[in-house]
Amino acid sequence: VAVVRDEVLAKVADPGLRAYVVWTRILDEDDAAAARSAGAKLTDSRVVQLWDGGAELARALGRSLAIPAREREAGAHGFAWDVYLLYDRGARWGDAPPPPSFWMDQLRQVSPAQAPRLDGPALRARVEGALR
Amino acid sequence: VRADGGGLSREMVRTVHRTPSPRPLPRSAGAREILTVLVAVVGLASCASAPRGGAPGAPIELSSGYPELRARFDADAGRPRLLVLASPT
Repeated sequence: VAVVRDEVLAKVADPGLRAYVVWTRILDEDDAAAARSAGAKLTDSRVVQLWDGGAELARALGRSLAIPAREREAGAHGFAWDVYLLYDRGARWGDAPPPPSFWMDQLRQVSPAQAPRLDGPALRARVEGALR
Repeated sequence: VRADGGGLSREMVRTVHRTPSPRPLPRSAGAREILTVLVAVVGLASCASAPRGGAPGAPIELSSGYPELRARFDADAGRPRLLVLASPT
């Protein structure tokens, strides 16, 4: 998230951009207090922060993005976390998560062919392109 | 140690802040009134500059089916949107 804060939000001033940062319960120490603490470091007015305490959204996006399950995860798909999804102006959620126009991740089980590794300047370039 | 085999959590490092002893308040009523007005002005200014997404450090809790996100996402249609999912630790 620091990469998004420092490389995207801090360098793209366009007020038309919206960002949703969803803190999700993945690691043992993750809880609402940790989410509040992490959230305090994000003060950009274009950001809405949410807490996915049941990891329901992480699981749904894991299915939607076809993220492979790790060894200890049940089912065919794993959780979506450490993922950075960009949606075009026309995307609507409706009943199911829409496919992002572009995404990056930091998950070992996702191949670079499926989605590139997080790269701040590259993500910023994509965001700037979407704003034009 | 992170459950995915990564490094140490940032929350494991904590800083203890010491608060200096408060200074005695001015004795005159006039000084107290000025102080009260200053505190009110500072309070109002901080409210006016609060970000659109709510107070920093207070994420909105998602309900089942995450309607809070879906509604915001669709309300913001017409703009490019960035969605990030992350562990807070």
